[in-house]
Amino acid sequence: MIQSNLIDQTLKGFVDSGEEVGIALRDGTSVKGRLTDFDSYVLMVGEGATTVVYRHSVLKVLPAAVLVQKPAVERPAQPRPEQRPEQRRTEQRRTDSRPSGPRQAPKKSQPRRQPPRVEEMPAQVSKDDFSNPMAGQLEKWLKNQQGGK
Amino acid sequence: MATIEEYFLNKAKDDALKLRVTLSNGEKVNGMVSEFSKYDVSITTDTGAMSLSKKDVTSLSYATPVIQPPETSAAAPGAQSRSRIQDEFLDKYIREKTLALFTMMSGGTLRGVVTAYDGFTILAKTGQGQLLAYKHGLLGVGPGYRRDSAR
Repeated sequence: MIQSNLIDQTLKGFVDSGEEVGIALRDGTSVKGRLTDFDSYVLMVGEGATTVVYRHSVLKVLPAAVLVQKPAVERPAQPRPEQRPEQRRTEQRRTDSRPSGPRQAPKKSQPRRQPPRVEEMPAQVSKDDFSNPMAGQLEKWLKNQQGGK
Repeated sequence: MATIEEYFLNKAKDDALKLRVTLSNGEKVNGMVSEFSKYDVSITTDTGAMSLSKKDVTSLSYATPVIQPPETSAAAPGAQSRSRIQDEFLDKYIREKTLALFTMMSGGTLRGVVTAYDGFTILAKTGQGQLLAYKHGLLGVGPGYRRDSAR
């Protein structure tokens, strides 16, 4: 006796109505045909030359008219990761010095980020860190922060 | 009493047969069965031994028949699965010796004549020899169906 649940009720509806169904499989393909019978493990598709489709391979069962190939979904533009002010200035400087290329200018509509609190700075900042240009900007920023207190 | 799967694996292990093992990702490995349990199987290949979970194995095949299938599928111990529809379907294929198309989860297909089955595997005779296919590695079995690729 098949345990009655929502999926089995839906499948029974397809069997009783005799409408053509589309079965989307886990490998991305699909099978179309009339659902003739089913049990806990398999679906019987087609009349005459029936095919057994294992339920563990089924992703979804839909009316055949509904199961159509969907176009590629355009993902919404990802928000740019929040940048520190000195990084933004460095990037802007780089953008200005280089000839125009595929890199897009920063969007003006991006919300202005509040500078991080001093407590968020990394705990270990050695003097060696100040030998590179980025660290030089960091040092300047730190002095500004300390001057602002 | 042993199922078709146990019978096949025991024979392959005793005779040290070099089986062709197809994995769920489509990879094929040649090796001998050294040990097997309810859920795992150990294969010894040229490069070394590997332990595989049976759920990652799609099929095992050998160029010549490893075992002789029972006269009727009903005689195979453990053959009566909990799927009445599937049993009737496979019994019909065995009786009529219809060429079946096995579609694998990895995307490949195999054609063969079903000779026996049990609760978890199907034994078939293919062009490459004898095949023991795990049902969990199959998408379906049929005479061939229209595939509308959604890719």
